[in-house]
Amino acid sequence: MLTRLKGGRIYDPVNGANGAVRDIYVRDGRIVAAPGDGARPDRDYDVSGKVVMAGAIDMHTHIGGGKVNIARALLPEDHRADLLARTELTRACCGHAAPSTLATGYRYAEMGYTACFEPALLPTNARQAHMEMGDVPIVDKGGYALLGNDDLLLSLMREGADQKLINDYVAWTLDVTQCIGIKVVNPGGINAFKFNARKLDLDETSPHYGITPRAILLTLAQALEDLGVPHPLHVHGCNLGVPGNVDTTLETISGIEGLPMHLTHIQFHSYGTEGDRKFSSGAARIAEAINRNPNISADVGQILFGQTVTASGDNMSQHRNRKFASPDKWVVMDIECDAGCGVVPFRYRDQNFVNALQWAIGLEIFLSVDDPWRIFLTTDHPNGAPFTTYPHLIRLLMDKTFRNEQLARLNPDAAAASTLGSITREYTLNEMAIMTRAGPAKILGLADRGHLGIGAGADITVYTDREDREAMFRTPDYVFKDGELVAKEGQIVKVTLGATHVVKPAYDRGIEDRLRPYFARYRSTRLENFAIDEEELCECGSSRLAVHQCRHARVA
Amino acid sequence: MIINGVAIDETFAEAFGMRATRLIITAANLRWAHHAANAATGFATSVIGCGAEAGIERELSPDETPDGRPGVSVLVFAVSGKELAKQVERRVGQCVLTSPTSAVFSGCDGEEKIALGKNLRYFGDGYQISKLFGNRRYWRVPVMDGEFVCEETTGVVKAVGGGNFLVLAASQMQALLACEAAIDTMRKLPGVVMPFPGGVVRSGSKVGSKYKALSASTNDAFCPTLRGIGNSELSPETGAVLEIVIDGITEADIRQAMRAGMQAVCSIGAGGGIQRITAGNYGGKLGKYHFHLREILA
Amino acid sequence: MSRLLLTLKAVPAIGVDCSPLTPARLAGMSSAAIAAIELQSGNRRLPAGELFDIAGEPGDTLVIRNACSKLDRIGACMNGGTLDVEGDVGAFLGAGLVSGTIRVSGGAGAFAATGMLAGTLHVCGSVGDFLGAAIAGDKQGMLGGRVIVDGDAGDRVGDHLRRGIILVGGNAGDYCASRMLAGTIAVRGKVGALPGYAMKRGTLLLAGAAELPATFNDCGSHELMFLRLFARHLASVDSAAASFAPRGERVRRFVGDRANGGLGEILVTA
Repeated sequence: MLTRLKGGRIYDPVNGANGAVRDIYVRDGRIVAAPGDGARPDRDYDVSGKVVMAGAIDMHTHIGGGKVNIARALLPEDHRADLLARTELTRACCGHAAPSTLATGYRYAEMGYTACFEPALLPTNARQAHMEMGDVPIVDKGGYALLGNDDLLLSLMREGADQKLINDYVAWTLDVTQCIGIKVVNPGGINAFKFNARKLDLDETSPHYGITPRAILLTLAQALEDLGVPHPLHVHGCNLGVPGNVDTTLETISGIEGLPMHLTHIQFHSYGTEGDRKFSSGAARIAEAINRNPNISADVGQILFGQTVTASGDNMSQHRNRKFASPDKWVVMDIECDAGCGVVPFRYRDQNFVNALQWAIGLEIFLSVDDPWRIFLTTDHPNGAPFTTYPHLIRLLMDKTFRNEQLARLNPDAAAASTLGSITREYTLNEMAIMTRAGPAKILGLADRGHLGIGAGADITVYTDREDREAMFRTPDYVFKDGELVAKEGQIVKVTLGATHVVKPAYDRGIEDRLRPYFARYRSTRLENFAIDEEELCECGSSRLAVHQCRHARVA
Repeated sequence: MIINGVAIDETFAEAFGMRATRLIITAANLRWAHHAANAATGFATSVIGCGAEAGIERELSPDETPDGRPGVSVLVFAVSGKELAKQVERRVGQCVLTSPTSAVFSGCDGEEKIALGKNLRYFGDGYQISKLFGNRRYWRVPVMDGEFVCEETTGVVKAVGGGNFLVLAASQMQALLACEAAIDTMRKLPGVVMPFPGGVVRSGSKVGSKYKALSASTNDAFCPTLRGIGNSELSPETGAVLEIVIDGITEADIRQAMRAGMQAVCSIGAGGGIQRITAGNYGGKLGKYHFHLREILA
Repeated sequence: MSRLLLTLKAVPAIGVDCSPLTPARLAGMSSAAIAAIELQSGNRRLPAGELFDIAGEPGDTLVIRNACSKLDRIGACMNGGTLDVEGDVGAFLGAGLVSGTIRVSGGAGAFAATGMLAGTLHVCGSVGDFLGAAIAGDKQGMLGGRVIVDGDAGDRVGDHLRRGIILVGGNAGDYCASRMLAGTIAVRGKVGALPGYAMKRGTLLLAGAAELPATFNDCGSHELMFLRLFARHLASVDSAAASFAPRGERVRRFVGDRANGGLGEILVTA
């Protein structure tokens, strides 16, 4: 079947289209070249004057895995208050801050998102996380496996294991957990928490293993570099949320010694200690460091005001934040000595100095990083705000007047402490297409996503160009997933299954001989049961395994 | 106007707007209710030096109190709601909470509320217990004889302070006996207290003084020993003057009490050495309320 | 005073959410409009007129006749007026009641009075579990008002109770007053296992000897004057459930649950 989108204004930064008017043809889920004059499209959509982009990609959103389920269990009121009745097509679902799997998929698709990446997939929880993501309809999914606080890696490092061995362990982890990247959360800190440490700085040695977070970051970043994994090490750094952590973050950037590194929800890591309240914006210094270091990329983790829930593997910071739980209930737990988990409901308030400044810091970073290919639009859903606030965030970035109106409503001390009011930059549609499509696809190594070139997967979103960017991005006219119309004017019209994006770097399977006894002795599952295969993945809701190319391995 | 040989001056008592509350103090028996109430209303003769004017309004039978125990009702007056709150808290905290078997309740509804047990509860050091029955909140504070039960707040009402009359008699004892008779009658009436010792004051004052630091000083025009000099108000026959000051919840309460008191004085009459009844005022410019003696007795 | 009568025609197959049927909501509506109100029942919505015969004039009083345990959420979030129910009712009776009076001649299901803010709820029969208790995820159960149950109550009476008074004329089940935060529960009959489990604050008044958890400490026998205030407050309540007061003010006071540092009290009348 041939589908034509006729006359749209194409924003496709990968292929250099910045509002150029041309037709797009889709066949069998892929974008194809214009057929000859004789061919008549079976379906024709007149999108003349409308804005056409690839489907949006959320490269950091907590949509699956243990902590999301814990958040759901912890907040039944979040579900009670936000109910969606079933329709002929969609099933009943619910939830605002911690939406159900179904609500997650429907709402993402309605907003023109076609792929979402779960950034904290604990290897030991991988099966459950994939099953949960398999239950999220329509959008493609992928996960970043968590390493860096697991007893095994830290033990290997303490023993001074060869980098090659660690590379095998990392590659094996990616393989058996079906992930596309590696994430490290508070390197060594989650583990140190279990030895009663309540903070762990970049160069502090962990209590039990005697390893520094800096060494963990370098080891994992080197492994990914050696394995040729496209996505750089995805780093949730030390000292999240602690005033003064801007210095830690800058040290982390320089400490990675030029290796590729992605700093996630960097807003939470950009705090200074100036001013009467010893809390200030470090956004300018962070943005400058990103601008200067081409090996560094970041997503913002913008906060937006209202009720949400913070769900993180960083039990150290969540344990610290438990005092601010609103409503007053929280969970901090260990997950099988593999990693940790902390869930703390939170309400960001615009009249609160700290929250208001956090809001401003996030926006300052967005607007001060020059290269849109290396900064990504996230709220660290649901930590900064639920993903459903993205259209609002987009408007804040694209509309200076609107932004300043919002700024004027904040806690006045926070507004005064921020340089946001003096920043005049407004993101263009092309930059927005980079930040939410082309950029994430590039940094994840998704060659056939995030653009509208020939051969690309036909994930396409069509918007009416409205001055109110929030309204524009909230309700696209059409959303196509793999060539099928899934949402029309904000309503789901077809429910499909998404693929699971993974990488499969080469490694020596001999690593399993070393891992097998460890699993037998220490883990709750046997090695043989630990691995998830494609068949199992597809049984629980994934349409297929989409394997992406690794760069050629540097080390033989 | 002359009643039973007593001349009633063509003048008026000048009174002021105040804020007041009624507290109900109960105890295991009336004796201990009185102990608590006497202490709480002690040193409360005049707002000038005491912060509050207070007195016992009347005794309450068990079926009139919230907890079914004997008690007394107490009226406390102050110049503002804020000052009243401060006075009530200190007086209840030091004199009622401390008194064996006592409990204290609000005896007056009013839009404006001041703390009664609201802050005193902290004496309980975390062991205090709140109980909300209907729309009334009570605090139970553990103390050495059991629990001190105390209502959270009490209502504040607008009230009148400074109703008065002066009794002029041939001798000090005659003046005193007449005033005692007046007080005995007036104490039976609701809504008023006579805040001075025994209800009677001998140191009537005028505004101002030769000493700059003082805002009021002795009422020389009514001092019998100064009869011969200056502008004395006293005739040669007058041997002593005593005053009764009345604070009341409403203007009508004060009017009623003044009438009863003056009638009691008049019934003793000239035969008992009573010569004249007059009243204190400041020319009518300071106080909102004027109680004309002849009108009241008419 | 006008009265609206809703008479259930037949027992519905599955539960019906009756929360839209409150006096304030129906006041001034025509019979046709009331009949057209849609009530959620499972995954369907049924017009009220299909379930009920409608008679009388809507006003301050609403009477539901022939009620049965399939009618859930009766009087939920009701704000003002009187709701008189003849028969049994289902779960969530008077949940979130804002003000007004609800009276049920029969029994009620689980979670009656949960989240109730004020007003009066009187059940002449027995109620299920979780009377005045918090629903899953909530930190607080009933928040105020007065609940009277003439019959028995199930387990977890007043779980997470925050404020208000619950009177049970008959027996109460296990975990009575569990995790209670404040308020007063009085049970005239017996209670099941572990009354006051994880109790934080508040008062559980029991009419006779009960087996208390080991984590409640005996603070001795006392005459507590506040019980007189309580009895007087309940003097107007027309139910045997309120009549424990003549037993006197002398009670044995147990404080707990000390397992979690609680300062709740279980008062056992002599």
